[in-house]
Amino acid sequence: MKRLLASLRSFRFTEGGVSRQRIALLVLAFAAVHLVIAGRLVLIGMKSDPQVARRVTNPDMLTSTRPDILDREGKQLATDIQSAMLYAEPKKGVGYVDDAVDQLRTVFPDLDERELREKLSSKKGFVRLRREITAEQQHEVRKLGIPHVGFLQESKRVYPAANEASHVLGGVNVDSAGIAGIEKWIDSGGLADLHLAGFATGRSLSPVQLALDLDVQHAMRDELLKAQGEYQAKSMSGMVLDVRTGEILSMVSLPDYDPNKPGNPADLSRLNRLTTGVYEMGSTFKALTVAMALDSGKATLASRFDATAPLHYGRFTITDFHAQRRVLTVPEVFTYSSNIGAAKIALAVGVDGHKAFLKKMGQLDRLRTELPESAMPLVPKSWGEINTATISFGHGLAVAPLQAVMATAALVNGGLLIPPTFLKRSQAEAEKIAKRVIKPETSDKMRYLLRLNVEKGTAKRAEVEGYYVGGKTGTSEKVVHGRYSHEKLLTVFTGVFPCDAPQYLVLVMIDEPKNRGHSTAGLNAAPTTGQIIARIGPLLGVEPRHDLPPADQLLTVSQRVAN
Amino acid sequence: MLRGLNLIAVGGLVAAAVVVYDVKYSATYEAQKVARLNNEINQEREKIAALKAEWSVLSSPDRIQRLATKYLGMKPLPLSHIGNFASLPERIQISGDPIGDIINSLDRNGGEHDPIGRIIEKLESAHQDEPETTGSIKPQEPAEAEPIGETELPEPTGTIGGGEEEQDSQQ
Repeated sequence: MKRLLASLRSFRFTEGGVSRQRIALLVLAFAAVHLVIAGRLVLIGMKSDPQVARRVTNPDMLTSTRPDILDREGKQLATDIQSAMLYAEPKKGVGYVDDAVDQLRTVFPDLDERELREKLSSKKGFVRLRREITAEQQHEVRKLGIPHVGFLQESKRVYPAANEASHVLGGVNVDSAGIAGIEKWIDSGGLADLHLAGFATGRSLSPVQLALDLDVQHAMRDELLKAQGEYQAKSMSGMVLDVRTGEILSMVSLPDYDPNKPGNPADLSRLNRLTTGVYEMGSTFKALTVAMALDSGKATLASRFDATAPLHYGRFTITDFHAQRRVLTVPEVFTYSSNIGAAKIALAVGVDGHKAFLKKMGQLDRLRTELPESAMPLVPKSWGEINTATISFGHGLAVAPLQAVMATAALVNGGLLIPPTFLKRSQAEAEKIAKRVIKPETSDKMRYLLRLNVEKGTAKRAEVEGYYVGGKTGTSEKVVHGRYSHEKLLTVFTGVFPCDAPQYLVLVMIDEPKNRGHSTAGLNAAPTTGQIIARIGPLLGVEPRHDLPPADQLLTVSQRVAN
Repeated sequence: MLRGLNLIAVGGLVAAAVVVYDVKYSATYEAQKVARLNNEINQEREKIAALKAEWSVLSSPDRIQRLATKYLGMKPLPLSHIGNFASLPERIQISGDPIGDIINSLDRNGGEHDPIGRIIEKLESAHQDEPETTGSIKPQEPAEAEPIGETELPEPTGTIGGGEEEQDSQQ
């Protein structure tokens, strides 16, 4: 202390260059320090502080959002809404566990006591206690004042139309990851990776627009439900396809499920029969057989095939349901749905030709669409004459109904095979990927045959006045314990309208109709299709016409003469 | 001289500090404001999404059909009620002799053809016991109701697909 005072005294009284230099040195040192501080301040001021921004944005946002799914008219099929979730951090301590459990159970009496105690007494950093908390419940929990219990906002997937389009949409699991249908397809497009990287938050994702029309979908489902009650069928399915673009406007498979509710994925109602099931499509396959023969030139509309006697192959006999026991022309084979006739037509083309044609029509390979679920057709391992004979009328080859629909659409749309899609597609895009499989003239003839079948054949009950419906019935016996059952039937109808310039194809499939006297397709699937067409036609903007010519007029004069 | 320099330096230092502090705090304030606004925008978006979802639930065709069946005595629009302008009868020219004009127009349309009468006949024969409401009027006793539409002509509007409500109500 004395020394310091002495030095101060000496500073005050000392004059000369030395002390001046010292003072200048001190000034410089101080100035340098201040400059450093000022520079540092400027640097800090210029840098934006991420902490600040984080404090203000809702820290409770835990969003891993998914894009909305819209129908072709822009109606919502799936969307995300925010809901609160209750969590706890037991590692940091929640006070007395017993007290916390009791208190929480006053607000949520449905919480399992033991499970809750286990969760709270664990040493985990984060446990999820309950989802979908309402605002009042949040308030109540806050009043309890339990430490380290809080709320997080999380997004929840909602399907406003509930059961309406369940199989197409699929569903998501609790972590908002798609597990089936279009939802899974969305994830496969890289969304899952985006989620992991934390980019897919907020509402930045553009919606996915489907080809589906919600009104048509509803009409289809409503009519199928009615028909299911009427025919006491085990299951029903139906779909509408735009034959010009391959868009799927409606796809219903009953029983269905509510994608809003978590369910057992192995449940039978989760099965989309149109894409994951494979069926022997029965007589609807005759359309393919006849088209093949007409296109290859092995037969014309005037060709005759002998259907007087059943065909025998070893122990197997092919008979006719609507037996005529005479020589039939090709249109007669089609309208009487003669198995013998169809078999002979296919044999006229030959086994290899038949196989090649079905391959070309996409009936022998797995059909892939946006839906992750698909099924491999059941193709006979060794394909002999008997296989060609039975496949000609839809037995012995099981395909996914969607596959058969794609081929039938190609028969009527001028001969273009267009892979079906669940996404909106323009006609120009469809033409780009379309593959010509039959000649346009053959397609004209097929339209004539389909229309003739409604006017005179087995499909009379599918007629809708004004819509010029054409179609083919199919009744197949289901295989039970390795043999064909006569009681358990699958009836199918593929209807096309309007037949002079087809726009839409409607498929109805009834599994095991039990109502006696209504067992064949002409009596159940055909009238159901008619009702569906009458209902969806106006929705799709198809104008009913009341001055339509008979089927014969569909063929040009030259074609009629040639035959 | 040195003192003056010192004063200026100190003054400059203080001024710089003040400016830096001010800039920093105003920047923080603006950042908070931006973050708050973004947060509000997000909240509004969430609200909009929730409302949209609610609207989708309320307007789902299944629900509309259930309500329409319960409260509105409507039936699906028959296809025969959809027409086009070409199928309309020719308009009657009004001149001094109205009755003569009607006769003339009937002749022009093919003599014995009476398009309006034909439509009425069709309606009478087809739907004698059904209510003819395709609008929003609910007949008081559907089973006993006078067929309202028998005297009304179906309106060929030339449009199709407009009968969505009627399509949904199943009777």
